[in-house]
Amino acid sequence: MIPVSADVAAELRLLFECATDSNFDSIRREICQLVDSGLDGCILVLRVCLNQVLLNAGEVKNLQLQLQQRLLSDVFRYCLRKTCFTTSFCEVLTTIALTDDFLESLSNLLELSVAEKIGVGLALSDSENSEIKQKGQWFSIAQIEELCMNPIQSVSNDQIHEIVVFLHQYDGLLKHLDTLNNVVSLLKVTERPFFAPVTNGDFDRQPNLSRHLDMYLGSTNDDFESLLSEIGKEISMADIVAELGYGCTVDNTRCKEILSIVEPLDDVAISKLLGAVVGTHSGLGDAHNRYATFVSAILNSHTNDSSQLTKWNADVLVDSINELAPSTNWVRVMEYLDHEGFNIPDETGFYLLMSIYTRACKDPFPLHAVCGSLWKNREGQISFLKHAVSASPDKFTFAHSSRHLDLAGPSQGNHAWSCLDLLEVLCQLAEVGYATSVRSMLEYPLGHCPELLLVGVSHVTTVYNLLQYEVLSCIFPALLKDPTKHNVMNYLWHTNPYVN
Amino acid sequence: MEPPAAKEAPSPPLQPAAEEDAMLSATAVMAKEASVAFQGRRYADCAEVLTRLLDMKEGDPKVHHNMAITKAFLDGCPDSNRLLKILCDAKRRSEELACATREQADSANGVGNSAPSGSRGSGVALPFSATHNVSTYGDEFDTTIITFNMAVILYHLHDYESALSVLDPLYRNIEPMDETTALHVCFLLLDITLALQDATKAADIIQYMERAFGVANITSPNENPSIAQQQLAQPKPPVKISVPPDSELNAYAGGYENLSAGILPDDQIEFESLYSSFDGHQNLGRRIFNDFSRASADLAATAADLKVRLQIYKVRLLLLTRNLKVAKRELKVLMNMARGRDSSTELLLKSQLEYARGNYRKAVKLLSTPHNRAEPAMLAIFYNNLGCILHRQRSYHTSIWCFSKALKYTLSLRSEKPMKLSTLSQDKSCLISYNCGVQHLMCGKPLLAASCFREAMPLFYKRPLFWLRFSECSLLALEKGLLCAKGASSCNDEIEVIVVGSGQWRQLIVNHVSLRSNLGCAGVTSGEHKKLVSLGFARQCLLNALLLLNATEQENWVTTSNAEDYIQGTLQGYKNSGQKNTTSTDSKTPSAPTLANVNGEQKGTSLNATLQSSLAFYNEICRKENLKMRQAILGNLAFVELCLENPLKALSYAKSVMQVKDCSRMYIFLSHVYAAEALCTLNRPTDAAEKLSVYIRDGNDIELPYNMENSEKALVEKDSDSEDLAAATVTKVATEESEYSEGLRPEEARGVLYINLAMTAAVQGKVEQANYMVSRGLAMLPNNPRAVLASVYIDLLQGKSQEAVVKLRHCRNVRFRPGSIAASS
Repeated sequence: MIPVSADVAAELRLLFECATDSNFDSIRREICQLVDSGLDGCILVLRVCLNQVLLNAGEVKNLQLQLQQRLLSDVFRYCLRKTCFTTSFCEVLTTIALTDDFLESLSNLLELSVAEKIGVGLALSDSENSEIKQKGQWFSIAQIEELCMNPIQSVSNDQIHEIVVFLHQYDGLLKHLDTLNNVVSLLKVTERPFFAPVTNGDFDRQPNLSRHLDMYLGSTNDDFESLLSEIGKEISMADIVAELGYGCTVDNTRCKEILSIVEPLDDVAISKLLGAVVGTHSGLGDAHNRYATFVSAILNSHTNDSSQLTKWNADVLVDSINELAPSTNWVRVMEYLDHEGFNIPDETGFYLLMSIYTRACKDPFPLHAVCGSLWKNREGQISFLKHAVSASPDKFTFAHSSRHLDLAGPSQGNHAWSCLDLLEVLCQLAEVGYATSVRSMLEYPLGHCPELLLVGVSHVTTVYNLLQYEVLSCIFPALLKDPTKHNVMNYLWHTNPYVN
Repeated sequence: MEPPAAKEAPSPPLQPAAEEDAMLSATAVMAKEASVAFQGRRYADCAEVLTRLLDMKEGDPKVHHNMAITKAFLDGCPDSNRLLKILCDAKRRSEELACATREQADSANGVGNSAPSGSRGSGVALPFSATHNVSTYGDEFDTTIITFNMAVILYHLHDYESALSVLDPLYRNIEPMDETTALHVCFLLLDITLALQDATKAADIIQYMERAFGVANITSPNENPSIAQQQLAQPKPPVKISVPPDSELNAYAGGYENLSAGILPDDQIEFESLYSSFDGHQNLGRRIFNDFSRASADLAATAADLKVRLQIYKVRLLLLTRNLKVAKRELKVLMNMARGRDSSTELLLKSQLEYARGNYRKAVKLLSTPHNRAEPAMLAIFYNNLGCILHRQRSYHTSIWCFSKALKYTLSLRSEKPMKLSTLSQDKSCLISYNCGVQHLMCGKPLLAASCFREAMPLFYKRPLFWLRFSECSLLALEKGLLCAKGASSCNDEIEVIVVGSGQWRQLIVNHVSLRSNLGCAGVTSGEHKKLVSLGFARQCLLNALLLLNATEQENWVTTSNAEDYIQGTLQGYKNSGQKNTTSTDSKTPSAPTLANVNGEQKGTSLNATLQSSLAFYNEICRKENLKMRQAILGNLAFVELCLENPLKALSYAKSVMQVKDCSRMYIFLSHVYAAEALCTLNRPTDAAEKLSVYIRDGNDIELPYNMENSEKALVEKDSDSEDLAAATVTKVATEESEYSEGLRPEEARGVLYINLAMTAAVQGKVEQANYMVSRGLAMLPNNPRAVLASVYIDLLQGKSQEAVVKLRHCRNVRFRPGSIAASS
């Protein structure tokens, strides 16, 4: 917290004093902005505001003063509605000498309504200073009594809640609660849920016998129907299969039975399912009990304990999916891998995913899905790329990339470092917090094909160019010293003369 | 005995004495006719007779009552509200008539000779309430049956509190009642108290029933005719008859009500009312076959039946008090008793027992009987119970699927229009919604959880735990970045670094303001969600929880002192737990409850002794749970107030957490951090440093604020109990990004302390100390954006901008943005 300079207070005072009809709104807006900025702003505004009010109290009311009064009152009300009012007001009052009728006269000067007065009193009843606290309590009680006598006030649900809580906290005030309940029933409670806990009244005595019934029946079928459909939308096959474990893929029939309990099995759902399967390729041994529960209760059959699977059966899974959803577009499925929670834990997981894809779809892997752009789930993207770049060429290759860097030289494994899309997405990932992971991925090319890497990253421009600089500073000096690498320099100059 | 305050003694038109005899016989005949029709389920005939009867005895509340009941049976009672109102009126009218009669009698006999027919109740030790004196004024104006029927209706509407408040006076005045009615009152009351999880009261009733009806020597059946004749003399036969079918609905309510209430320590979650009750439901199916024979056979249950029924309640009570060993034994007894009967209730109880004992396979097997899958109401319960089992097996998503199925089935009951009372009674949607909500909370879906709790409110709004859970929706949303609050951190926090200029003039601007999720507030959009998932609402929920908790503790205290021989001081007094709660009970000295014999190993001890020790055990559990709840509520309140920029209140709540007796070290830690943060916001960094310094050992090193066991014990999801120490305006520091439901690991907590102390030191100008602390803290929380920012801040204070840039580069939560116009901030 930086101490607010005295200048700001002076400026504020000036603003209050120079209010005219024409600039009234803009000044009010400006002051409210200060209040919005937080606790410090609110304290400052309230302090100046109170000082002005007290200063003006004895003065003759001329036109200018009335306008100022109106502004002060508006601003005070604005503060009153803020959650930080309690703390701010208590803080401000510690510096003001309190007389017995201070609160009363203040609220009269500001022309506060009963509800607003209650708000002021309740705020003070939270003070650390016992004297202020006492005053706040008394004031609140007096105002609540008045509210109960004249219930034709507009009181928000929230405030009623505050009052109820206040009354509950102090013994001997519960007598007001009955009155308040009556008041509440008179008030138009427009917002349906009224959340204050009802007192444990005697049933016979309750005047409004049917209130609880309305409450019960109040939640209509529509509410439940929409809730049910919302829940339904959120239920994901992937989560369920991951919980039930490897038993789900024991054979085609069982797998199809389980996969069909949640509709629909569309591309997104399949993608999430694959994500879950890949993420749990080991360590689900304890799931068998759940699986047994589920199978015996829902599918009404028994499981054979002896034949517990220890890993997913990818073939069963893919075949079942293809039978249930023959129109699955596996390229789309791969595109949807960018979903929350997708993460490939290790190499085995990666190869499992690839074996699923190759069994499901004959086309080469859609590279644009994983390095076409920055994913929303960056962690997941990193985990995929980390294994992809070092995968053996028969399992995964970048050779069919559309933006392939053609540089004379021996072909490199799975062609990862010739893929410009990959380099671009790695540069981007490095700048959104994954520099460490990306650096470790670059160790291999830095050692084995530095020029290729340098040329590759020189094609990429990002906001901070973090990775590009690092690669450059690492490779460039050696490049300069080596006269045989002039062609690389030449190439670099032509692709990106700004690389420096 | 005082007469009731007769506000408006209306002097009803009583029949002249001369005519009365003739009238009486005529009406008696008609009443008998109506009674026979009612018993024979010919409700239309019955209504017709009653209509004629009403012509003759206009304004007789009993006939009105009978008429209303008959009509309800005729059309299934679609408007229970109206029925309740009629009964209420009838009751008031009866009381007025009784009052008037007595006034007449008094004026005739002279005032001195009061207490005429009240003698029936004279032997009763239980206190009378003024209103129910009336019922002792002769059977003519007895309101017992009317009151009972009101309670039955309220029970079916799931309004257990009101039902209890209606029925309890009858129970207190049960001695003069005829045996049949008394039995019905007791059974209904048992259902109600078990629904309310009031073990003490339920045990009291069971013990009373054993004593009063002496399970061994039950009313001989040939006593019944005399009762019946007695009734026929009165013009109110259907009243009596209406009782058995109605109460029949409650008869076999043995079931899964509230399985595993309370907090499962390992799960950090609790399912109150997990398995829903079977109230009514089997009976509805069965009523048609059973009821006829039963109602005509005898009004009271046969001795064997009564025994079985009581045994069912006993088992349910034992399950509620979690005395599983004895429950198992008693269940065995029950199975033997029930040999040859339809044992579905027993099977379900057994399934519940196995569930409670952790034998989930067995529980599932017992649950999966074909009977349980017969009709929608049954299927709803089946899926709900299965969901509970799966929950225990940590299969949260699958259990959501089960609950949604259960909800679908229970909603299918609602399609019937208008809703009949019996259907309403089977409607478990609130209960299932609650379970569903808790499950969504576990799965990290706060918005759906809030919607579920919203629907569960009618049934749960009196339970503190419910409100705590409701508030956790908002806190979880905050943690997930679906809500914004100043000073709160979410797991999506990012440090935004704006890159301005290029080449050697390139500058970095650390944008401290945007320390919030990139989702912004977009997550919470729709109106309903906005209301239910917000910090303001969370505060309301927590306050509700606190109020209710205080209320239950006071209540408990009263009951404990009333039934001192039962429980020996299981309740500890909370000393004005900071709530400025002058009403707080500075109750009895906390003496350890007698936990001996809890498991009732010794077969020799009477069941009553076992019941009492189970009760003591259960009360101790409840006390501990309440304690945990209080910590969580106060801690969360402190956090919420901080987020709402109300540090004064946050400070006072944090202080009250520290005052909670036996507070867990985890919450002590949180309260210290919250208090320190509040003090910082109040511009009192020195006080804040003092608060935190309790953890400093040997110079500048900090001890672990708690260990793993503490944090595991520390109740519930510690979701989003993230805290935040605002020091200099340049950086807002601190906190973890705690994994939902995992809480802060002790090492991370220590890291938070280091960072926070570093910030207070920095503000006080002790840069060297700050530097040391922040480096220790950052080592413990390398991925925490706030820790990184704190460290960057200290570096900048010392003019080491290059180090600061390196730190930013390596931080995983830093996001570089091009600085064009946005750089102004």
